[in-house]
Amino acid sequence: MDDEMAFHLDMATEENMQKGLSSEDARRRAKTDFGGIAQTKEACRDLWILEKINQFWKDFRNGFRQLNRFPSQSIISILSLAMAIGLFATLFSVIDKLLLSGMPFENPDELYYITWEASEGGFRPNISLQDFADFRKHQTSFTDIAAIRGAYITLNESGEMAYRYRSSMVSENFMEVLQVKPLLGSGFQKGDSYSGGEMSIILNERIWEEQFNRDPEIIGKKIFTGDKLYTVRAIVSNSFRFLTGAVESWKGEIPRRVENMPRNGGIPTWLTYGRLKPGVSVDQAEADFKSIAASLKEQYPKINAGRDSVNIRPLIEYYMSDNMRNLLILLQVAVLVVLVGACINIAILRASQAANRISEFAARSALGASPRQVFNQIIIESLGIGLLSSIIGLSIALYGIRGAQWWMNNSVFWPSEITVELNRSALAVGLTLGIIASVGASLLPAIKVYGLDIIKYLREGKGSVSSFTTGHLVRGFVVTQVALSFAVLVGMFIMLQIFLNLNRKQLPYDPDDFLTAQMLFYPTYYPSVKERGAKMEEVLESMKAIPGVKNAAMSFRASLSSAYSGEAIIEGVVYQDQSDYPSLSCRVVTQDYFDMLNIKLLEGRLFTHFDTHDSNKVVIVNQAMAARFWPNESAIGKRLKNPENQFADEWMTIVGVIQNLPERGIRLLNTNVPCYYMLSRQHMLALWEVVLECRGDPEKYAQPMREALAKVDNSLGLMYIRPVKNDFGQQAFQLTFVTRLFTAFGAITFLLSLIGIYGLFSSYVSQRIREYCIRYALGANARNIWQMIAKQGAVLTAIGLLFGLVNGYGVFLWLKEVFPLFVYASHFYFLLALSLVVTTAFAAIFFPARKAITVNIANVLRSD
Amino acid sequence: MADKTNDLLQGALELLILRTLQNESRHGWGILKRIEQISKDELVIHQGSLYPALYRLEKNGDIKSAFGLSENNRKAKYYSLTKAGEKRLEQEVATWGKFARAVRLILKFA
Repeated sequence: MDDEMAFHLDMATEENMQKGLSSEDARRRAKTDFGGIAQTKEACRDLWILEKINQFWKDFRNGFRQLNRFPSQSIISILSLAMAIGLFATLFSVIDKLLLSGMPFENPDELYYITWEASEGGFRPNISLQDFADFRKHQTSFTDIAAIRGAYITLNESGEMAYRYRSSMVSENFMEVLQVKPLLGSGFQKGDSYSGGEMSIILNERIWEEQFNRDPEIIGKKIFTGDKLYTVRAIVSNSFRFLTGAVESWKGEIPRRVENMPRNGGIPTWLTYGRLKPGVSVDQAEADFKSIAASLKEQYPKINAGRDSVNIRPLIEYYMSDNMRNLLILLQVAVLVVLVGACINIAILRASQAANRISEFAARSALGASPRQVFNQIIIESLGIGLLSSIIGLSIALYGIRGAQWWMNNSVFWPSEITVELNRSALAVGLTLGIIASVGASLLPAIKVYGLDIIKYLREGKGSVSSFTTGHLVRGFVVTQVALSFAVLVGMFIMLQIFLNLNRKQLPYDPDDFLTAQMLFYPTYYPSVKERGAKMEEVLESMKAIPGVKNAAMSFRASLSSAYSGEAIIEGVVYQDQSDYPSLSCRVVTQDYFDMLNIKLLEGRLFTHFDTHDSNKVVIVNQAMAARFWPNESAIGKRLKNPENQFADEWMTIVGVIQNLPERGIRLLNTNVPCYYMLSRQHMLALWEVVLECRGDPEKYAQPMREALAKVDNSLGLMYIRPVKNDFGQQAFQLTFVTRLFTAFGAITFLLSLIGIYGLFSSYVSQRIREYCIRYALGANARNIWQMIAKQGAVLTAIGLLFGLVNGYGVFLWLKEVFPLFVYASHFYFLLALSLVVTTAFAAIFFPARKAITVNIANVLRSD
Repeated sequence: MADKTNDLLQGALELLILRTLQNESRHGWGILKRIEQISKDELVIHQGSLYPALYRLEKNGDIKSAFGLSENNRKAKYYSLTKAGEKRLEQEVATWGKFARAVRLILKFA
């Protein structure tokens, strides 16, 4: 346009100069006569843009009219693509956050946790307090490191009833490292918790409300927690939970403990974490810690024997085992495959639709539409599908994310630190792929139409157009969809079965019937084993007297869902040093424990009244422990001891062997964990889990439990009262979550496959309508046509099922390897999957076939 | 006369452009000068109206354009009639003829 206007002005100027004007005047006159070049250009541009918009709007409207002409295929295309996009974006976002950094802290990808390197059995031991202090002093890779360990406090501000709350002992910098801001106060002060400084504590909102009525003057107040006075330094939100579970208070105790506690090894129990410095890699940090570990080992050869190097892992992995991470990564890949599959589905559907409409486009060209207009029409129709699918897919993704977050927030099993949001890249990938598939599929027919010789086509008919058939593609894809559906269904049924049987197969009792709580017998109040044992018996009798309670027992420190980790020294085995002690599970339980939980005795006897505080120390082992240490003989009469200080290093005689239980939690999927059980009244221990077997909903026994305890001793308090099923749920939340994800994924993928099979087969049949009509005209009847279509469909389905069987078996073998205890060789999965796929294929054949045999033959043949 | 541009002329502008392009391709300036020449300067096209009209005709498919070299070796955009344009010209001439006869009759006998 600029060139054109410039030429015009030049010509006008020349003419004016010929009339006698100077070049300047001539130019000026030419511009004046033109009357506004800019306005003219603007007017032309407006015309052009308006024209484009008008044309686009016409093609867009026409496109949607075309969608209405083939409503079922349009709906199938749009819905399946939308669901695939939504599923992809949702699952990808959820898994991405789980695998990466879903924790609501500043720069959570900088947070790592530190353990000693994995030992036998894959355990990564935590750090001891003194080692933590030395690491902290000498390390240079982290901006700072902090430590945390579980604890408890007792508060009785009202004076009426003591409440126990879960707590943690922490280093004074634990909030700075996380960069968490409290609701009130500013956190621990400099010098807190060191000798001469204040013993300080941080509380959560719940304690602030229950014990202090949200007193606004709480900061700086001194409170008594059962054994010490602490100064309140901050109040944090109830939603703040970190590493040690549903903890409600944090005591800044580490500095003073480090100062006062001798370096004596023992079992390291401190969770250590830190914020890696920018630019420092994990390898560099591990090397840094390794050199510190080497010098510690040199200084303390006995205590630090075997402690050579550390593992530094992203903190998010604390919640996610390697197995689960691998499964989730696999699920991400699977979801992407589903999305690509749905896109190919759409592409084939669109391509075959467009190919069927070549005559329509030819007619439109003959009526005056330019090739460009017809090309645009096809592309815009596809764009409409792509856009509509994208909008619906985005809505599905947004609701999906909200649903996932709601489930996490309302599930007690979920660590509330993890939040989920829509991953924009995943959404962009989904939307882009969807639009590319939809538009790209129509390109080939659109290009064909663009170069079509209309006269030749209309004169000679379809034969003059080089054949563009998607028949082979459609057939191939029907087979693929059937095979995929079958394999997905097999996997889904297996995951469903795992989910339903998570607890049942491994436990001799039903966790839904049990309530548990923690209580503490302070050594200062019960200085002897005999006194404490008597008090425990009294408490248990009081609990058993609660109406509706069937039985009661106690277990030291560990809930039913998981025993605690300990070591053992087996008599007759020679150990070089304590790093050689086998790492096992162990429990200390009251006499009725086994009876209450229906645990089967396999050999010997259970604990009896004759096993008193001053008789010979006795122990019971499980079948796995007996098999491991005494494989060729009976374990009865053998002896072992627990090297921890609190067990006084005394030999205990094995009196019984019981069945295996999942003492390391359902999560680890292995009940064959060696475990031994000591008797409560023979050991001086403070923290206990009280377990009640109840009739009906166990949660309604919480208050009666408190009252029953208060009747025995008002100074004793219960903390962390919860149903036992919550513990199992927490243990298994990873597995539960993953199986639910897989199940949801399987269900949606099957639905997509179902839609895909129907859409493809419907398209396949409609491409052959003319052929069927010709057969009718030549004498075939409806039954013949029906048989022909059914046979075609059956052959494709059978081939698909053959491939599906192979894939399904592969899925079964893989899942059996990952979950050996839950997956059984069963024809059930395959039969159920087979029946569902065959039913789907039948529906996919029946409806298009019905349409084919009821079509108006004359209209179809005439239209050609 | 230079200011004799009225609504009637505007409406007939496209017809005039088509007619000037019937026998040969011309650029915008050439179309302008041809109309002025044939009408003996009775019809002077407002230059600002010419190019939007040309664009409209081109978008409708009645004319097509291509750049070429002018008589004085300058780059210019030439327009020529398409088949659709020829058809339209024929129709518009017939319509205009009827219109002109009708107006003449009314002016003579009304």
